[in-house]
Amino acid sequence: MRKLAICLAAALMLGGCSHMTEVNDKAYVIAVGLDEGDNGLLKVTYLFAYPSGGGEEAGGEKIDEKDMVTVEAPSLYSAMRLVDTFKSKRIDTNHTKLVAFSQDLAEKRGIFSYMADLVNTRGFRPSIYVCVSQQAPDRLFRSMEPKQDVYIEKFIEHLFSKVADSGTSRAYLYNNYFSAIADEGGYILPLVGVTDSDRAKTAAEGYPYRRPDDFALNYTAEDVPLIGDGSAALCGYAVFVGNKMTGTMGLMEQSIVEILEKNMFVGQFCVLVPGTNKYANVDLRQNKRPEVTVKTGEALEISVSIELQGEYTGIDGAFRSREDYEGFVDYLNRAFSQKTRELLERTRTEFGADVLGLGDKAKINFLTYGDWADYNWKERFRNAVFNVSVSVNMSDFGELRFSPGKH
Amino acid sequence: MKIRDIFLYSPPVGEDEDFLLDEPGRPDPDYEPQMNEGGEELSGNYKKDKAVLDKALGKDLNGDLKIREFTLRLSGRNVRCCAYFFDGLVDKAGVNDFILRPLMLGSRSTEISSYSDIMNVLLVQSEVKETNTLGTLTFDANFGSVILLVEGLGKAIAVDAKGWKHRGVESPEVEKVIRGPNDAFSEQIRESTALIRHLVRNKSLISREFSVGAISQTPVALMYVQNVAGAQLVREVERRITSLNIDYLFSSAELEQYLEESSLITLPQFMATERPDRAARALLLGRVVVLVDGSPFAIVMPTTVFELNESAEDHYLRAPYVNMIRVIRTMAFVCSLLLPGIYVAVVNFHGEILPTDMLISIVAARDKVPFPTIVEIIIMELSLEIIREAGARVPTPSGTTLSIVGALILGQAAVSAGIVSPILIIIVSIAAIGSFATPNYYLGISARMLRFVYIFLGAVGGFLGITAGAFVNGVLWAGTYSLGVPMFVPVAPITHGGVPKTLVYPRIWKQDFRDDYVNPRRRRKQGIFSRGWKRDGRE
Amino acid sequence: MTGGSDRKIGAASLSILFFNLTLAKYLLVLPYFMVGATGSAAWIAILLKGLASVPLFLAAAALYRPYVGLGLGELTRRALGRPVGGALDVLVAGVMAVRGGMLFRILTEAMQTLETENATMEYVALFVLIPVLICALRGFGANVNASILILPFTVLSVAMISLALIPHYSLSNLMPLLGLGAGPIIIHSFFRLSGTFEVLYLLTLSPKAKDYKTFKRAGLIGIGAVTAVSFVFALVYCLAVPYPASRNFFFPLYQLTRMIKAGSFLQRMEPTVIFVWTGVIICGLSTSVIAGSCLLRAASGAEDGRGFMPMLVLILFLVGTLPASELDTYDVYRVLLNWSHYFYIIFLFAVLIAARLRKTEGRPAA
Repeated sequence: MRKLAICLAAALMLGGCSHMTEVNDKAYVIAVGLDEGDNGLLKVTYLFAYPSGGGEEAGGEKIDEKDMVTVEAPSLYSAMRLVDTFKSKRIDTNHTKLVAFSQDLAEKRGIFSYMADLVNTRGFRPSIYVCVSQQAPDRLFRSMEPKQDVYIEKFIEHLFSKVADSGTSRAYLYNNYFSAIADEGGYILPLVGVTDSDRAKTAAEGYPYRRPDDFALNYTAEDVPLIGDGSAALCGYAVFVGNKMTGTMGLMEQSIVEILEKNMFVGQFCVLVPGTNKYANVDLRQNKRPEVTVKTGEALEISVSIELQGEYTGIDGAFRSREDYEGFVDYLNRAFSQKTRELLERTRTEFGADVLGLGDKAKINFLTYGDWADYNWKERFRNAVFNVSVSVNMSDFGELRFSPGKH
Repeated sequence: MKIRDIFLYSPPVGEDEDFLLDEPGRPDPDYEPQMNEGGEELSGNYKKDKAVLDKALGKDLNGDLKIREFTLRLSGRNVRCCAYFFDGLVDKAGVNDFILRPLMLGSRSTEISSYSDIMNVLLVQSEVKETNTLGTLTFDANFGSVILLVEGLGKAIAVDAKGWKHRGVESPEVEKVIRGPNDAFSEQIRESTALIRHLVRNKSLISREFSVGAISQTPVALMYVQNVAGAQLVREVERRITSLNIDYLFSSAELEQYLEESSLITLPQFMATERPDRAARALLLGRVVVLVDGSPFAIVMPTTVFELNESAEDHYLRAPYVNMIRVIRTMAFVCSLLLPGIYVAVVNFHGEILPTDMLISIVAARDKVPFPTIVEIIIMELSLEIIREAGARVPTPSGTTLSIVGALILGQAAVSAGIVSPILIIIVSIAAIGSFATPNYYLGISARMLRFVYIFLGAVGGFLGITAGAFVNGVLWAGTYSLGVPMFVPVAPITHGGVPKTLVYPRIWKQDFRDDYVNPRRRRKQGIFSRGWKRDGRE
Repeated sequence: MTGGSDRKIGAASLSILFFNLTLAKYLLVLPYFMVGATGSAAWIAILLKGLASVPLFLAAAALYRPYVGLGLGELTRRALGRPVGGALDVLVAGVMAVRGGMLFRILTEAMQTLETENATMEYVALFVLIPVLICALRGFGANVNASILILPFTVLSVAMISLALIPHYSLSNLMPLLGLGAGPIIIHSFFRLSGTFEVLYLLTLSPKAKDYKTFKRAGLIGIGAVTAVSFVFALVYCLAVPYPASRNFFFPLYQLTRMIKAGSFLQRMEPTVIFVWTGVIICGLSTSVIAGSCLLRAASGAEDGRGFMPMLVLILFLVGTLPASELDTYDVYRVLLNWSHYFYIIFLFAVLIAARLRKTEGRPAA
């Protein structure tokens, strides 16, 4: 009896052995790029990890080569099968860090079905980063240059973690998937592009009369004026309405979105002091989450109140009197209010959808999901009224700094 | 065997040899701090007093109590005398030369006429006292005195004859500590019982002696504290020892195997200690200690898994340190048991849980290795076991050669030759060191052995296999009994107040109770206000 | 070696057993059904569901009071006579096996998602059902011990998941507060008393309890603890995943662990969940097997129920293979959850009331 049971168990166990795979018998995908192909096909680029081989010298020197394969296939899955024919090792997507959709694909075909595929595939983690690439993904991957990092996957991880620090962030796959399903009708994705020195120059030439201040610099990724060879940059957002990408947001708008999410990571602004041709550098911080209140009456009214706290890091002799200071703070308030309002109105009029997810705040006014669905947020948002108030609290020199949110 | 038996398997019913302790009783609220009763006095009547002393010193129970009856000559008549002493606690030559010889021979060669002469002339000892108090007498007897009862004297005489071997006996080999005493048991059973008796110093410490082995007639001492250890427990150990029908017995390790309940389970069911202080503590906590002549290890029974994970030093350290060390020790045990298995499972099934950088360096390192991980790890584990086994019996002069060769095989050479990957060496070494950090030797071996099972399960079923293995292991271990006490008590099954005590080692003044699962006769081991100097008591 | 199985167990151990038995269902499957039925208010529904099963348990316990030493199987046989009672016992044991089989199937599906796509039924069965059989054969004491040893890991893992997901919480995901409306919440909490089934287990295993008081306390603590943990878990799920998306995931536990980003320490957490997950299910299944064998023993009048265990485990496996797909499994389970409790309630109270009316003797014959 006992012996028989042991034999039976052993026989079954041998069956189990069949699906074990050694860790070094797999090729690890680091990034996947999806682009529009010919004849309705999909152009899929896989970027593989490139282990540097050999025990002691592992991790020592940098690897410049990139192991990339691009195929044209009907879908992501069939692409995997095709790529499998090129690789000696079995493909493993469990360590994928980034999925980049090309702008063409996003604008022409939409990305939701691909995202749903990714979410439902065991191999892809819901917390991988997604982005829209302004160029073809293979070009993007090629121009990603890990200089601070040893490996490319670390580079991607570090690059995107800057925009992905908070839970509401737009960089993770599942956040975007949730937003795509939700009722707001739109969402935004980080925008990545390869900067080209020629293009960057022409972008800067758009401001011929004077040196622009930061409020005016609304670059998207590929326009960032980099001097030297082309390189991948993460800047701005791609705006999706429904399934398809309909527009972009630039660097300044990105800052506003970050402020709205209390996720501002670079608070340094260089501002042209009105009435002079001098610049003041201010360092802004957020101590308090912006208050967004939504009145869901007949007319939709959305009020946003932002509090910022800052200090001067350089004033270049721009101020002569107390009034100058106060006037400048007023100007900052007005400028930020205006930028925020412009952004919100842009989502309302230009995109016609609540891409920033303000609808989340409105749900509290409803008791059941049915009521919320009946309210028809998507329609009402197109006629929404925005009230924006920004108060920038600058600490003067020698003045004790206090936190406007906490007292 | 029929097919029917596979599906309608019927195990035998009603095994009446099972021994199970009763449910733990309610704790006894009364606390009597003094266990040497002071009140009782000797009556002065020789026969009655002799009976009283016999009882108090446990004549029928204690094997190491020696009683020598003789007569001395006083004023021309023979006076009956009786000397009580514990073998091992007294200096026997001294007792012979300076107590028995003067009394028996000296009283006959020298004329003595009064009882005071016994003290003044005959007993050539520096420390002699006369007393009637039974408590003092039993204490002195347990502290190395010879108790003399002289007919007609009306009192007993306690003659100091301390002569136990102390310090310098031997220091422990296995259970070394920094803060505690450094005595160890020896092969002489008498010395060992004396070491315990010296620590407990109480008449309720009983040392029953048996001889086990039809041919070898090995002396075996069963020790317990009468007022503390549960009677059922003592009876059961006695029953098991006396029931042994064997020709010879040489060590406590053998006896342990004869007494334990499940011989195939990897978990050791008794604790062996070479430290008298540890044995004495166990005795006072209501355990039973068994000593075997010829073996420097005492067996403490019953024991639990959590006690096996205690080191000898735990009781000498302050509570915060103990807690930290225990966590580390538990981790070490878990590492030594599971780490190689988990490594195999991760590398073969769950590569995705590793951080990408680490994965890539593992891949880079493994790329040169021709074997699958399972073969690689088994090669390493086996060579480690071989080196360990060789190290245990290699003569000291060759020891250095062995360690050099071992370090080469397990280290640089194996990696350079591309047989194993460097990370594997780390895993195997951590597991090996972990099994050394396990305080109980048997538990360490058990981990070494089961490690192979987990490696196999990890290779076959990944984490699922390891979980299944761990579950079965847990069920089997938790279903093991040490002398009728479940090995995982007080956690599984839960007993009164046992879980918090197991999770966090309490401060010494909070350790008020003995464990209820051994059914001690006295539940409380210190007063509610164990620290009398604290005005507000507890905190 | 089997001495432990006859030991009576205390309230704490019994409630832990109950906890483990129920948790598998509450943690693995219920949140999915509840979110589907009540939307973002699943956490309220689960809380109410737990509360609603308290009076039911108290009523059953009060009626059951004189029969604690007897066990449900024996009681049924005595109260309704050998043929009817025995048949009912076999039926209930069968239902237990079916339910266990479904749970086993769900675990298998989970393993295919979690561990490897190639995990076949036999493969999972090897690592789940053999431990179940061993645990059941080692007796009730072993089962209780195993439950206790698993408990800290379960609680730890739920706590770990809840803590690690804090960055993903958003209060607005709980809005609208009543989800799909008050109606579904009430239906799914008060009229779908799936907890009845566990009460049935508890009554079957009651001879192992010390006395009535222990039994009652164990039931209440168990229900409380399960409700608390599953409430926390449902709340975490609702907080972290917004409603229309949360409907799409079969394994909330798995989905949540997938969302955790533990920095560069562990790339993924989900394989670590296997430990807890499988342990809880093995424990629950072996309790089912023990309870089933108790019922069958009562029905057959055999001396020892352990003979039935291999058979029950085999049935479990065969039932598990019946549904054609993952979706079918869920549908069957959903039907079981939603409707079978009427059968249990009727069965339970019919037996108890019949026993009371017929003035059945309470003490066991031996």
